[in-house]
Amino acid sequence: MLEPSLDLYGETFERVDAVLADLLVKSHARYALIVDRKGFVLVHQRAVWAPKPPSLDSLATLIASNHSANLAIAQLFGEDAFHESVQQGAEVGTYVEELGPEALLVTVFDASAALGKVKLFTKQAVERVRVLLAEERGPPPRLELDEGWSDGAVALMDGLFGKRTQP
Amino acid sequence: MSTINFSAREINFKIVYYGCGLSGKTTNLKQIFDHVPGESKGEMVSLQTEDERTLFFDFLPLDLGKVNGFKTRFHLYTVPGQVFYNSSRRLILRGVDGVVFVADSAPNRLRANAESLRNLRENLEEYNLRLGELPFVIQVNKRDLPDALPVDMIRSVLDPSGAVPHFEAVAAEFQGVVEPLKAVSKLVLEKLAQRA
Repeated sequence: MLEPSLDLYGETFERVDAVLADLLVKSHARYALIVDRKGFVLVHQRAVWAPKPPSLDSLATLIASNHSANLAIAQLFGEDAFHESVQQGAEVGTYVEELGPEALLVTVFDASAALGKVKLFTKQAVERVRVLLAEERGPPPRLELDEGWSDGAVALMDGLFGKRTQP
Repeated sequence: MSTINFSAREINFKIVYYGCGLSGKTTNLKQIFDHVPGESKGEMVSLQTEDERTLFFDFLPLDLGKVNGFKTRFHLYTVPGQVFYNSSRRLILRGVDGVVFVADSAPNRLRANAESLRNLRENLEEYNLRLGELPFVIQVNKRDLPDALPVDMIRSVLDPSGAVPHFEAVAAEFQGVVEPLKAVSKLVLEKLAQRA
Protein backbone atom coordinates (compact mmCIF):
# COMPACT_ATOMS: atom_id res chain seq x y z
CA MET A 1 0.00 0.00 0.00
CA LEU A 2 1.05 3.56 -0.57
CA GLU A 3 1.98 5.39 2.56
CA PRO A 4 1.71 9.15 2.32
CA SER A 5 3.33 10.60 5.40
CA LEU A 6 0.13 12.44 6.27
CA ASP A 7 -3.26 12.09 4.65
CA LEU A 8 -3.72 15.53 3.14
CA TYR A 9 -5.94 15.60 0.09
CA GLY A 10 -9.15 17.02 -1.25
CA GLU A 11 -11.27 19.16 1.02
CA THR A 12 -9.11 18.40 4.05
CA PHE A 13 -6.10 19.84 2.27
CA GLU A 14 -8.04 23.02 1.50
CA ARG A 15 -9.16 23.37 5.11
CA VAL A 16 -5.67 22.76 6.49
CA ASP A 17 -4.36 25.32 4.03
CA ALA A 18 -6.93 27.78 5.38
CA VAL A 19 -5.82 27.06 8.97
CA LEU A 20 -2.25 27.97 8.05
CA ALA A 21 -3.42 31.18 6.35
CA ASP A 22 -5.38 32.08 9.47
CA LEU A 23 -2.34 31.33 11.64
CA LEU A 24 -0.27 33.82 9.64
CA VAL A 25 -2.91 36.55 9.97
CA LYS A 26 -3.33 36.08 13.73
CA SER A 27 0.33 35.64 14.64
CA HIS A 28 1.77 38.03 12.04
CA ALA A 29 4.32 35.37 11.13
CA ARG A 30 5.91 35.20 7.68
CA TYR A 31 5.46 31.55 6.67
CA ALA A 32 3.75 28.44 7.96
CA LEU A 33 4.56 24.95 6.70
CA ILE A 34 3.62 21.40 7.44
CA VAL A 35 6.56 19.11 6.74
CA ASP A 36 6.81 15.40 7.26
CA ARG A 37 9.50 13.85 9.43
CA LYS A 38 11.47 12.89 6.34
CA GLY A 39 11.81 16.53 5.36
CA PHE A 40 9.24 16.88 2.58
CA VAL A 41 6.94 19.91 2.41
CA LEU A 42 3.28 18.87 2.52
CA VAL A 43 1.60 22.28 2.55
CA HIS A 44 2.80 25.85 3.00
CA GLN A 45 1.51 29.38 3.25
CA ARG A 46 3.25 32.74 2.94
CA ALA A 47 1.98 36.04 4.33
CA VAL A 48 1.15 38.48 1.55
CA TRP A 49 3.63 41.01 2.90
CA ALA A 50 6.46 38.53 3.53
CA PRO A 51 9.59 38.47 1.37
CA LYS A 52 10.25 35.49 -0.87
CA PRO A 53 11.18 32.56 1.36
CA PRO A 54 14.44 30.65 1.05
CA SER A 55 14.35 27.20 -0.56
CA LEU A 56 11.50 25.36 1.13
CA ASP A 57 13.14 22.01 0.35
CA SER A 58 16.24 23.03 2.26
CA LEU A 59 14.22 24.55 5.09
CA ALA A 60 12.04 21.45 5.48
CA THR A 61 15.01 19.09 5.37
CA LEU A 62 16.94 21.06 7.97
CA ILE A 63 13.91 21.47 10.24
CA ALA A 64 13.06 17.75 10.09
CA SER A 65 16.68 16.69 10.64
CA ASN A 66 17.11 19.15 13.48
CA HIS A 67 13.93 17.87 15.08
CA SER A 68 15.15 14.26 14.78
CA ALA A 69 18.46 15.23 16.37
CA ASN A 70 16.69 17.04 19.22
CA LEU A 71 14.52 13.99 19.77
CA ALA A 72 17.63 11.81 20.03
CA ILE A 73 19.17 14.26 22.52
CA ALA A 74 15.98 14.24 24.63
CA GLN A 75 16.01 10.47 24.71
CA LEU A 76 19.61 10.48 25.95
CA PHE A 77 18.20 12.12 29.08
CA GLY A 78 15.26 9.79 29.39
CA GLU A 79 12.76 12.27 27.96
CA ASP A 80 10.21 11.25 25.34
CA ALA A 81 10.93 14.45 23.45
CA PHE A 82 11.65 18.14 23.84
CA HIS A 83 8.13 19.38 23.30
CA GLU A 84 8.98 22.89 22.20
CA SER A 85 11.55 24.06 19.70
CA VAL A 86 12.28 27.74 19.21
CA GLN A 87 15.17 29.14 17.18
CA GLN A 88 15.50 32.89 17.38
CA GLY A 89 17.96 35.16 15.60
CA ALA A 90 18.21 38.94 15.56
CA GLU A 91 15.56 39.23 12.85
CA VAL A 92 14.06 35.83 12.09
CA GLY A 93 13.02 32.84 14.16
CA THR A 94 11.32 29.49 13.78
CA TYR A 95 8.86 27.73 16.03
CA VAL A 96 8.19 24.02 15.58
CA GLU A 97 5.33 21.96 17.00
CA GLU A 98 4.76 18.25 16.51
CA LEU A 99 1.70 17.35 14.48
CA GLY A 100 1.34 13.71 15.38
CA PRO A 101 4.07 11.16 14.83
CA GLU A 102 4.54 11.90 11.14
CA ALA A 103 4.66 15.64 10.65
CA LEU A 104 5.68 19.01 12.06
CA LEU A 105 4.06 22.43 11.88
CA VAL A 106 6.71 25.11 11.36
CA THR A 107 6.07 28.82 11.84
CA VAL A 108 8.69 31.29 10.62
CA PHE A 109 8.43 34.74 12.12
CA ASP A 110 10.38 37.98 12.27
CA ALA A 111 10.85 40.83 14.72
CA SER A 112 7.41 42.26 13.92
CA ALA A 113 5.73 39.24 15.54
CA ALA A 114 5.55 38.54 19.26
CA LEU A 115 6.92 35.11 20.15
CA GLY A 116 4.09 34.56 22.63
CA LYS A 117 1.50 35.08 19.90
CA VAL A 118 3.38 32.84 17.51
CA LYS A 119 3.43 30.05 20.08
CA LEU A 120 -0.21 30.50 21.07
CA PHE A 121 -1.62 30.56 17.56
CA THR A 122 0.68 27.78 16.34
CA LYS A 123 -0.53 25.52 19.15
CA GLN A 124 -4.12 26.40 18.26
CA ALA A 125 -3.46 25.66 14.61
CA VAL A 126 -2.00 22.27 15.52
CA GLU A 127 -5.17 21.39 17.41
CA ARG A 128 -7.37 22.53 14.52
CA VAL A 129 -5.38 20.47 12.03
CA ARG A 130 -5.51 17.43 14.29
CA VAL A 131 -9.33 17.73 14.45
CA LEU A 132 -9.51 18.00 10.65
CA LEU A 133 -7.31 14.94 10.19
CA ALA A 134 -9.39 12.95 12.66
CA GLU A 135 -12.64 13.59 10.76
CA GLU A 136 -14.01 10.82 8.58
CA ARG A 137 -13.05 11.27 4.98
CA GLY A 138 -13.26 9.41 1.75
CA PRO A 139 -10.38 7.19 0.66
CA PRO A 140 -7.29 8.92 -0.74
CA PRO A 141 -7.15 9.36 -4.50
CA ARG A 142 -5.82 6.35 -6.35
CA LEU A 143 -2.43 6.81 -7.92
CA GLU A 144 -2.61 5.43 -11.43
CA LEU A 145 0.75 4.01 -12.37
CA ASP A 146 0.70 2.13 -15.63
CA GLU A 147 3.45 -0.20 -16.78
CA GLY A 148 5.32 2.53 -18.55
CA TRP A 149 5.36 4.84 -15.60
CA SER A 150 8.82 4.00 -14.29
CA ASP A 151 10.15 3.87 -17.86
CA GLY A 152 8.80 7.39 -18.37
CA ALA A 153 10.59 8.59 -15.26
CA VAL A 154 13.84 6.92 -16.30
CA ALA A 155 13.52 8.58 -19.71
CA LEU A 156 13.31 11.90 -17.89
CA MET A 157 16.51 11.00 -16.04
CA ASP A 158 18.17 10.23 -19.36
CA GLY A 159 17.11 13.68 -20.48
CA LEU A 160 18.49 15.21 -17.31
CA PHE A 161 21.92 13.62 -17.49
CA GLY A 162 22.15 12.50 -21.08
CA LYS A 163 22.44 8.81 -21.93
CA ARG A 164 25.61 7.39 -20.45
CA THR A 165 27.24 4.03 -20.43
CA GLN A 166 29.54 2.42 -17.94
CA PRO A 167 33.11 3.72 -18.50
CA MET B 1 8.51 5.25 2.08
CA SER B 2 7.90 7.64 -0.77
CA THR B 3 5.86 10.71 0.08
CA ILE B 4 2.84 11.15 -2.18
CA ASN B 5 1.37 14.62 -2.04
CA PHE B 6 -1.93 14.27 -3.88
CA SER B 7 -2.91 17.91 -3.59
CA ALA B 8 0.37 19.26 -4.91
CA ARG B 9 0.53 16.27 -7.29
CA GLU B 10 4.06 15.42 -6.23
CA ILE B 11 5.86 12.15 -5.61
CA ASN B 12 8.98 12.49 -3.50
CA PHE B 13 11.69 9.91 -2.98
CA LYS B 14 14.63 9.82 -0.61
CA ILE B 15 17.92 8.33 -1.84
CA VAL B 16 20.80 7.98 0.62
CA TYR B 17 24.48 7.66 -0.29
CA TYR B 18 26.13 5.47 2.33
CA GLY B 19 29.71 4.29 2.81
CA CYS B 20 32.84 4.62 4.89
CA GLY B 21 34.62 7.91 5.52
CA LEU B 22 36.24 9.57 2.48
CA SER B 23 34.78 7.04 0.04
CA GLY B 24 33.37 9.85 -2.12
CA LYS B 25 29.74 10.27 -1.10
CA THR B 26 29.85 14.06 -0.99
CA THR B 27 31.84 14.10 -4.25
CA ASN B 28 28.98 12.25 -5.92
CA LEU B 29 26.48 14.89 -4.86
CA LYS B 30 28.77 17.74 -5.82
CA GLN B 31 29.27 16.26 -9.28
CA ILE B 32 25.53 15.76 -9.74
CA PHE B 33 24.94 19.33 -8.62
CA ASP B 34 27.55 20.60 -11.10
CA HIS B 35 26.15 18.65 -14.05
CA VAL B 36 22.39 19.00 -13.65
CA PRO B 37 20.71 21.98 -15.36
CA GLY B 38 19.74 24.77 -12.98
CA GLU B 39 15.97 24.41 -13.31
CA SER B 40 16.13 20.74 -12.29
CA LYS B 41 18.01 21.13 -9.05
CA GLY B 42 17.59 22.97 -5.80
CA GLU B 43 20.17 24.28 -3.40
CA MET B 44 22.80 21.88 -2.18
CA VAL B 45 23.03 21.95 1.59
CA SER B 46 26.19 20.64 3.27
CA LEU B 47 26.61 20.43 7.01
CA GLN B 48 30.37 20.05 7.36
CA THR B 49 33.13 20.35 9.91
CA GLU B 50 35.83 23.01 9.54
CA ASP B 51 37.99 20.55 7.60
CA GLU B 52 35.12 19.87 5.19
CA ARG B 53 34.20 16.44 6.49
CA THR B 54 30.49 15.72 6.54
CA LEU B 55 29.15 16.39 10.03
CA PHE B 56 25.45 15.60 9.61
CA PHE B 57 24.52 15.26 5.94
CA ASP B 58 24.64 16.74 2.45
CA PHE B 59 21.35 17.31 0.70
CA LEU B 60 20.45 17.91 -2.94
CA PRO B 61 16.89 18.00 -4.32
CA LEU B 62 16.43 16.93 -7.95
CA ASP B 63 13.32 17.61 -9.98
CA LEU B 64 12.72 15.10 -12.77
CA GLY B 65 9.64 16.73 -14.21
CA LYS B 66 6.10 15.35 -14.59
CA VAL B 67 5.31 11.68 -15.01
CA ASN B 68 1.63 10.76 -15.36
CA GLY B 69 0.75 14.25 -14.18
CA PHE B 70 2.78 13.96 -11.00
CA LYS B 71 5.86 16.05 -10.37
CA THR B 72 8.55 13.49 -9.57
CA ARG B 73 11.33 14.54 -7.23
CA PHE B 74 14.34 12.89 -5.66
CA HIS B 75 15.97 14.10 -2.48
CA LEU B 76 19.58 12.93 -2.36
CA TYR B 77 21.36 12.67 0.97
CA THR B 78 24.79 11.59 2.11
CA VAL B 79 25.60 10.38 5.59
CA PRO B 80 28.75 11.20 7.56
CA GLY B 81 31.13 8.30 7.01
CA GLN B 82 33.25 8.62 10.10
CA VAL B 83 32.58 5.81 12.56
CA PHE B 84 31.68 8.01 15.52
CA TYR B 85 28.80 9.77 13.72
CA ASN B 86 26.52 6.76 13.81
CA SER B 87 23.63 8.58 15.49
CA SER B 88 23.54 10.99 12.56
CA ARG B 89 23.66 8.18 10.01
CA ARG B 90 20.73 6.47 11.67
CA LEU B 91 18.65 9.67 11.61
CA ILE B 92 19.29 10.26 7.92
CA LEU B 93 18.02 6.78 7.05
CA ARG B 94 14.55 7.62 8.29
CA GLY B 95 12.11 7.22 5.40
CA VAL B 96 14.80 6.08 2.95
CA ASP B 97 13.56 4.76 -0.40
CA GLY B 98 16.85 3.63 -1.90
CA VAL B 99 20.56 3.36 -1.08
CA VAL B 100 23.71 3.88 -3.13
CA PHE B 101 26.60 2.29 -1.26
CA VAL B 102 29.86 4.04 -2.19
CA ALA B 103 32.77 1.64 -1.78
CA ASP B 104 36.39 2.78 -1.67
CA SER B 105 38.79 0.85 -3.93
CA ALA B 106 41.88 1.52 -1.81
CA PRO B 107 43.39 -1.68 -0.36
CA ASN B 108 43.47 -0.28 3.16
CA ARG B 109 39.73 0.56 3.03
CA LEU B 110 38.39 -2.90 2.31
CA ARG B 111 37.65 -3.58 5.96
CA ALA B 112 36.12 -0.10 6.40
CA ASN B 113 33.81 -0.83 3.44
CA ALA B 114 32.67 -4.07 5.03
CA GLU B 115 32.13 -2.44 8.42
CA SER B 116 30.15 0.38 6.84
CA LEU B 117 27.88 -2.09 5.07
CA ARG B 118 27.33 -3.98 8.32
CA ASN B 119 26.55 -0.66 10.00
CA LEU B 120 24.04 0.13 7.24
CA ARG B 121 22.24 -3.17 7.86
CA GLU B 122 22.13 -2.51 11.60
CA ASN B 123 20.82 1.02 11.21
CA LEU B 124 18.14 -0.06 8.75
CA GLU B 125 16.94 -2.60 11.28
CA GLU B 126 16.10 0.32 13.56
CA TYR B 127 13.39 1.17 11.02
CA ASN B 128 12.41 -2.46 10.43
CA LEU B 129 14.00 -2.35 7.00
CA ARG B 130 16.09 -5.08 5.36
CA LEU B 131 18.72 -4.22 2.80
CA GLY B 132 17.56 -7.07 0.59
CA GLU B 133 14.10 -5.56 0.38
CA LEU B 134 15.28 -2.04 -0.39
CA PRO B 135 16.37 -0.66 -3.78
CA PHE B 136 20.13 -0.89 -3.40
CA VAL B 137 23.17 -0.54 -5.69
CA ILE B 138 26.91 -0.43 -5.12
CA GLN B 139 29.25 2.13 -6.63
CA VAL B 140 32.90 0.97 -6.58
CA ASN B 141 34.64 4.32 -6.49
CA LYS B 142 38.23 5.53 -6.96
CA ARG B 143 38.98 3.13 -9.79
CA ASP B 144 41.82 5.45 -10.82
CA LEU B 145 43.92 4.61 -7.78
CA PRO B 146 47.16 2.95 -8.92
CA ASP B 147 46.75 0.20 -6.32
CA ALA B 148 42.97 -0.12 -6.59
CA LEU B 149 41.73 -3.53 -5.52
CA PRO B 150 40.11 -5.68 -8.20
CA VAL B 151 36.38 -5.06 -8.40
CA ASP B 152 35.69 -8.77 -7.96
CA MET B 153 37.54 -8.77 -4.66
CA ILE B 154 35.51 -5.81 -3.35
CA ARG B 155 32.28 -7.40 -4.54
CA SER B 156 33.16 -10.72 -2.94
CA VAL B 157 33.29 -8.91 0.40
CA LEU B 158 30.30 -6.63 -0.02
CA ASP B 159 28.04 -8.75 -2.17
CA PRO B 160 29.19 -12.40 -2.23
CA SER B 161 26.09 -13.52 -4.13
CA GLY B 162 26.72 -10.95 -6.86
CA ALA B 163 23.05 -10.03 -6.88
CA VAL B 164 23.42 -6.29 -6.27
CA PRO B 165 23.94 -4.04 -9.31
CA HIS B 166 27.40 -2.48 -9.17
CA PHE B 167 29.08 0.35 -11.04
CA GLU B 168 32.72 1.31 -11.34
CA ALA B 169 33.41 4.97 -10.82
CA VAL B 170 35.87 7.81 -10.56
CA ALA B 171 33.41 10.19 -8.96
CA ALA B 172 35.87 13.07 -8.81
CA GLU B 173 35.94 13.03 -12.62
CA PHE B 174 32.19 12.45 -13.02
CA GLN B 175 32.73 8.92 -14.26
CA GLY B 176 30.22 6.36 -13.03
CA VAL B 177 28.24 8.92 -11.06
CA VAL B 178 25.03 8.99 -13.07
CA GLU B 179 24.67 5.24 -13.60
CA PRO B 180 24.18 4.20 -9.97
CA LEU B 181 21.78 7.07 -9.38
CA LYS B 182 19.72 6.10 -12.41
CA ALA B 183 19.81 2.43 -11.44
CA VAL B 184 18.65 2.97 -7.87
CA SER B 185 16.05 5.50 -9.02
CA LYS B 186 14.65 2.99 -11.48
CA LEU B 187 14.42 0.35 -8.76
CA VAL B 188 12.64 2.83 -6.48
CA LEU B 189 10.16 3.78 -9.20
CA GLU B 190 9.47 0.15 -10.07
CA LYS B 191 8.90 -0.67 -6.43
CA LEU B 192 6.37 2.14 -6.10
CA ALA B 193 4.62 1.04 -9.28
CA GLN B 194 4.35 -2.52 -7.89
CA ARG B 195 2.95 -1.28 -4.59
CA ALA B 196 0.42 0.96 -6.35
